[in-house]
Order: sequence, then structure tokens, then C-alpha cells
Amino acid sequence: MNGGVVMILDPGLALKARDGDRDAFAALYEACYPELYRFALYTLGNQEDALDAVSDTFLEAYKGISNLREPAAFKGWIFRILSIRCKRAVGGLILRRNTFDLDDFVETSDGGAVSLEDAAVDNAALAKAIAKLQPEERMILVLNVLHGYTTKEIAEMLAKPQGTVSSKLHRTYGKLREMLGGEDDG
Amino acid sequence: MAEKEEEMLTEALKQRLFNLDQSIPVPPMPDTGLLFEKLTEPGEKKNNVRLFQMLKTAAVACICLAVLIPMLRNGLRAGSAAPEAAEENDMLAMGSPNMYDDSTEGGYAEDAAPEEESPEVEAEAAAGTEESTEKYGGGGTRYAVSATCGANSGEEENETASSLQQTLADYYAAGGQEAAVLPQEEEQVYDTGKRRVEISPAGDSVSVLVYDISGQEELLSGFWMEGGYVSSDLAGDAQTCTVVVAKGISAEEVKNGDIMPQVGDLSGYTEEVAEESVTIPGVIVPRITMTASINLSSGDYKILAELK
Repeated sequence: MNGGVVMILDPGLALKARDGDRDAFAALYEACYPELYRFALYTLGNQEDALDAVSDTFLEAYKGISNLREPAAFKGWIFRILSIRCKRAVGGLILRRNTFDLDDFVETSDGGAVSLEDAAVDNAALAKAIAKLQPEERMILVLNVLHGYTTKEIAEMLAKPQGTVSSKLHRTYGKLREMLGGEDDG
Repeated sequence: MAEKEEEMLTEALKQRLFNLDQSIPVPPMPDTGLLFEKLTEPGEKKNNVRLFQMLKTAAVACICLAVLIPMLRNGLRAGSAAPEAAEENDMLAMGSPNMYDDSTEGGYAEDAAPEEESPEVEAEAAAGTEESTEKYGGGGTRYAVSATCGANSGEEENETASSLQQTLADYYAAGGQEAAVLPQEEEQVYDTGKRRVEISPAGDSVSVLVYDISGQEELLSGFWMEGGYVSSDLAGDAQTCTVVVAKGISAEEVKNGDIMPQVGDLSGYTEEVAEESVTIPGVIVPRITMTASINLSSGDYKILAELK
């Protein structure tokens, strides 16, 4: 891990969940849910597909948790399941013509202060730029920046060579800088 | 210096990403109790598959019995007087491919060229059916069924082809307006051993998914194009695959940029084909044709649009 937002999970819960305690598993899931949802949303681009992927991950994780060797590694393990789920769902985006939905990224509720509106514009511009990235580029970016995984850890998660992950991450930063720089200029 | 600037921009980008992440509205978590219930319910999909497999196995067993029992009866009656029947009986019992070759030959011939079938082939197929009916009594059903299936699928193909022609004729008759959506075609799959290309027409658009199947199956690229499926082809060297779709649009509409066909990629981002990228030849037909050329080693593709 190289920084980023580190979700604190109680390893005791993971241990209990591994031993078949449903409540413990539900508590773990509740703790992970917002991060799992956001990760799926970045990758798949819309709420519907993201929720499906997260629910499927929950079921798959519950079925497989007895095989989890290291309870402390629960978060990485469940993200790996979700990333595989998301990779599988990506083909469905094409088949179902599901699109990247900006409204699912940006809070549209009114009543905010002026500064909040500015933040919303900024967020919308970033979300638009993210929409133009490929799902795998989004996955790598989010895992690195928001979840603090190193390229080596991401490579293991996505079953890709580390060099590929590093170069994709570098390229993705470049793309975003270019897209956002262009918008700022315009 | 440039590196430092790049680093600063990247840091600013990360900060913006954090801000966006924290502002994303997260829908309420589904009730875990309901999810657990799903787990305790028998998995519908899996059970359906299992049930289907069981039914399929049972059906195959029934057909085999229906074929074998009369054959065995005939065999017992005729004793060694029917060596051919006994030989085929043995082959069937062993699941010999020869038996399938015999039965599918006619079927394939009919599938591949339902209209151009030579009288000899027709005669052979008919003779085969009669002969088998004669030889095996009820057992001949197997041949009859396979011949009927072949003929049926041939007819279906003819029907699809003629309805496609009709739809295209409607296209032109309507002066290029989208009078009708091209009929849904069957999925086309090309497998080179390293890559698999799945082309799925779905009414008014065509999806293309390219998988890397050299190791663990992985989606290499994917996109969709608005329009009816026209054709697809895998180049002889298996390096390039082309997919052609068409949509009724007039030259004026292209020039005005009124209705341009859309294309989408894996990102979920949809865009219209830019009018300046459309080739408009001298003699035009009010139909825009988009040809996607896919490089199978990288998965990269290029879409060329032309009014033709």
C-alpha cells in the first residue's frame, strides 16, 4: 500500500465471518460497501451495473470466505473479487448499450453554497474526463489513487504484468492531465 | 522542470479525484438479509442449467433407446442376414463418428446450399432416409429428424435472407429514410485460436467484442456501431477482422449533420460519427456504411464511414 484512503477493518470480524458468522460478514460488508460501490461505479459508469456487481461480489465473497487464508487481507481479497466481476461486466456494457452516467457521479441536489456549486462543476469536469477512459484504466487509477494499492498489488489483483499496470497508470494520468488541461484552457 | 510540473499536476489531479470520490452519492446498501436469502434459495440459473442438462441427457437417452430397441429387435430377427445393419448398430452403440458423418453429411449439404443442392444429393438424402426407415422401422426416425432439421434450417436461412433483401429494398424505396430496422441476424463468431471475435447484431446496432483467448480468456476490446448488420469477414492471415453495418441516411443529412450514426466503446461513452469523417463519393446511395477494421493482435479498431 502506498497511501490513499485506507479503510480500517476489524480483522476479528473477518475471522468470525470466515468461521461462518453471518452478522460479522454483514458488518464487514457494510464497512466496505461505499468503497466497493464507488469502485464499481468508476469502472462500469452507472449505478445499475455498479450495484449488480457489488451484490454479486457480496454473494461470491460469502460463499468463498471460508477459503480466505489471511483475514487481515479481507479488503484486498474482496476488491479482487469485485474487479473480476467488473471485468466480466464490461462486455455487457457493450451488449446492453449501458452508458456512463454523469448524474450517478455528481450530486445534483440544490441548496448548496456557491463554493459547493463550484466544486460540483469541478467534479463534473473530472467525471467527464474519467468517462473517456477505458474501464481498465479507471480500475487501475482508482485502486492506486483512492485505495492506495501499489502497481505490484494491482497487477496481482488484475492478473496483469506489473509493467503493463505501471505504463497504463502513467498513460492514464497523462490522458487526464491533457483532458482537464484542455478544458481549463477552454 | 517539466517533470516537476507534471508531478504537481498529478498531485492536483489526485486531490480532485479524492474530492470527487467523497462527493459521489452512494445509494443505500441492499438489505443483507435479502442477499443471504438469495444464497439459501437454490441458485435459479445454475439449477436451470442443471435441469436442462438432465432433461437433455434424458431426451438423448430416450432417442437412443427408441433407435436401439427396434434395431436390436430387427437384428435379432434377421440375425446375421443383415450385416450392414449390425455394423451400423455397433457404430451407434459405440457412438462412432462415422454414424454422425453419414447423418450430418446430408444435413450440412442442405444447410450450406439449400437452393443449389444437386439432384444427386437430394436423391441421396432421400434414399438415405427411405433406406433407414426401411431398415430400422421406427429407428429411421433419427435420420428423418436430422434431414428435417437440415431442411428447416435451410428454409429459415432463406427466409432471413429474403427478409433482409426486402428490408434493404424498403430502405431504398423510402429514399434512405430509416423505413425499417434491419432484421436481427445471428451472432457471428470468429475464432483464430488466439482471438475470438463475437459480432452480435441487435436490431438497430451491432456489438463487437474481441477476446484474447491465448491464455486466460480476457476481453481485449469492444465497441458497437449503430446500423444494421451487413457483413463481416476475417482476413486470410487472421490478423484483421472487418465488420460492416449500414444505416439509411441521405447525403444532405450527413452534410447538415442532422442524424449521424452513433458508435460506442467499452468506456460506455457514446459519440456520433463526425460528418467530416464521412466519405461521400460521386454516385451515392442514401445509406451510410460503417466498416470497422479490427487489428486482432492489439484489439485496436478503426471505423470508416462512407455513403454508399
